[in-house]
Amino acid sequence: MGLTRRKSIIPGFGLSFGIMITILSIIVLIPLASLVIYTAQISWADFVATVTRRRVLASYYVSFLTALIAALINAVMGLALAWVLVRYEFPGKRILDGIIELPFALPTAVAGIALTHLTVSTGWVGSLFARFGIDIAYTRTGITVALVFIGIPFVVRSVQPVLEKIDVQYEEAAAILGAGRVRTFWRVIFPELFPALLSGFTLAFARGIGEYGSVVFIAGNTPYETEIAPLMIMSELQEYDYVSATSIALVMLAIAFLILLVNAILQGVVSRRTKGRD
Amino acid sequence: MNETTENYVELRHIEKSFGKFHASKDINFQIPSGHLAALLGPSGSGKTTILRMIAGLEQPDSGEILLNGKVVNKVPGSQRGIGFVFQNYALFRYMTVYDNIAFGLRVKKAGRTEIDARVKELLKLIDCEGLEKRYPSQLSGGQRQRVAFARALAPRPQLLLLDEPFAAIDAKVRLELRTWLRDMINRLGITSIFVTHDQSEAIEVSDQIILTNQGRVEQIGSPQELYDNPATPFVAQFIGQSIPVEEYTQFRFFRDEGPESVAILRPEFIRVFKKGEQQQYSTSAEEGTVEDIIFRGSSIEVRVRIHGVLLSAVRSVTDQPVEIGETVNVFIHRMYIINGETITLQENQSLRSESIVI
Repeated sequence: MGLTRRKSIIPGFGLSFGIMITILSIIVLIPLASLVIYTAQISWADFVATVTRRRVLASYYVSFLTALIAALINAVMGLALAWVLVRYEFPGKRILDGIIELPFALPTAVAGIALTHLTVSTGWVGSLFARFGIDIAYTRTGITVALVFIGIPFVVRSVQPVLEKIDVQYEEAAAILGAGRVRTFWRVIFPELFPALLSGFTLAFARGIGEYGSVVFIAGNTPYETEIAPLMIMSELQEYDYVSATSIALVMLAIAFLILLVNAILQGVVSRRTKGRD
Repeated sequence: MNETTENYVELRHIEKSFGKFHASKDINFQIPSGHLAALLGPSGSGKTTILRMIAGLEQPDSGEILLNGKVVNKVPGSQRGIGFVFQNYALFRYMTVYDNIAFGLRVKKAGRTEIDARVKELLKLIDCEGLEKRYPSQLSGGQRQRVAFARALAPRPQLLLLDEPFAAIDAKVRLELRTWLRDMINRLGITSIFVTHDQSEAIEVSDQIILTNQGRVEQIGSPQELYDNPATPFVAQFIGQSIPVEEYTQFRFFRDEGPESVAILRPEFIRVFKKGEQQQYSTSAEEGTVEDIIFRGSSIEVRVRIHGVLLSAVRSVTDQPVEIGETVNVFIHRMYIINGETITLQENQSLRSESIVI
C-alpha cells in the first residue's frame, strides 16, 4: 500500500522515509529502547517481583480504573461539546472553541493545583459536595476529575472535524425515510463518528494512565487507595532505585502500547468499510 | 370534477426567502399523476428550493403545497409519501446495500419477511442482485445511484423526488442512466420530479419541464413546447444552443422589429451548403466563411462567419465535408426576435414565395 510507486506530494519515498525513521528513533524509539536495556540489568524474577508488589499492583489498578472512567466521561462530554460547537451558532462560540485547548496549554501542575483548591472540602465546588458527604479532593473521584480535565481536548478535537464533514443530507435522507432523531443519531451519525470518538477516547485513556502533574496534588497519594502508577515511578526515583523505576515504567509502556494497538486494529476494521474503489 | 386524481402535485403561490435572498417568487404549477417532470434552470434559480419544499425539508413562507389534492404544508416530510434521491445519494456509508434499502422499511416496523421480499424485489429491479452485502464505497457511481433510487422506492412512495440525479456520474454512464431512469419511472408509473441544470437531460427524460429563473417559473410545458414556443426571452435563450445576434437586419429577408430588438438563432435554424451543392432556396442564401469545424460524432458542427457574425450550423456526417476557410452558402430558416419582454418567431420571408416556385 505505502510502497506503491505513485507520485506523491512529498518527493522521494526514500528521503521522506529516512527522515521519518530518524525522527521517530531520536524522540521515541531510542529512549524507549534504553528503558528496556536499563531494566535488563535485573533478572526476570527480580523484575516480576518489582512490578507485582502489592502497592505497585494497587497503583496500576487506580491508574487504570480512574483513567478508564475519565475517558468514558470524556467520550460522552467531548461528543456533546463537539456537537454544540459544530451544529450551533451562539455568541462566544469562538472563545469557547479556544478554551477547549487550555488543558493542553496549561502546565499540568497548575491545573492540578487549581482543581485541588476548588475541590477540597472548603473549596467552592468541594464544599457543595461535602454537604452530601462526598469528598472529591484526595480521593479516586478527585483523580478522575483531574483526568477528565486533561483528557477532554483529545475527544473534542478528534470528533469535531469529522462532525463538521458529515453532510446534513444523511440526516435529511433518514428523516424522509421516517427515522426519528434517536434512530438517526444511533444508526446514521454515530457510525460516522465512531472511529474519531474511539481514537479520542483511546488518546484520553492512554494519557490518563500516564498523567502525573495534575493528579499528584489532587490525589492525596494514600498508599493502596490513591497512589497512581506514575507516582510509584517517581517515588522509586526519589529513593534512587532506578531499576525499580524503569521496571514499572516498562510495564506502563507495555500497557500504553497495548491500548494504542487495540485502537489501531479497531480503526482498521471500521475504515475498511468506507475505503472503496473511489 | 375530480381534479385530485389528475394532478398529483400542485403548488399555489409559493413564496420563500432565505434572509434577503428571495428564492421562490409566486411559484404555481401542477404535475399530473404519473408524469415525470423536470425542474430546469440555471444554478441559483430556485429549483432545488422548490423540490425541498415539496419534500418538507424547507417550509414555504406562504402559499400552499398540495399532494393528491391535500394541503401538506404542515405534514412532516416523512408522512408525505415521498421518496427522495439526493444529489450525492447520501447512502449510509456504514450500512450494506441491503441495510440501506431496508432502512425505510425497518423504520416503518415492517416484518422481517416482508422487508426481505421487498429488498430482493428492488435489488432485482435495479439490477444489483448479489451486491446486497457490499458497502456503498464498494459500488460504482451508477450502482450507487440505483441503490439510492431503490432506497427511496422501498417504502412505496407515491411521489419520487430527485435532486440533480445525474450530476455526480461520469458522462458515459450518465446517458445510460438517463434512459434507465426514464424507463424505470415509466414502468412504475410513479409521479416524479427531478431537478437539473442540464437542458438536454430535461428535454430527453421528462414529460413536462418547469423552467425556473431567478426564483420565478418562466414557462411550463412539454420539451417540444419549450423548444418551439418559448414564452419569454429567457426561455428562448436558455433552451437550445442559442446565439444572440443584435444586427440581425443585415441578413436578407428578415424584418426589422425595432431598435432594441435582438434575434436568437439556433443551429437547427441554419443550413450550410457547399458552393455548387444541390440546394433549395439558392437565390435567398447568403455567403459566409467557415471558421471552425467540430466533429460531434453523430453530426458536424460548422461555425460560419456571415456579415461579421459567428453562427453555428449542423451538417450531417454523410454530407460532403467542408473545410475551414471555405466560402459556403448559408440559409437562415427562421429566428426568434426578442423585443423587450415579447418574443416572436420570424420565418425567412423568401420561403413562401420560393416554395411556390419549386
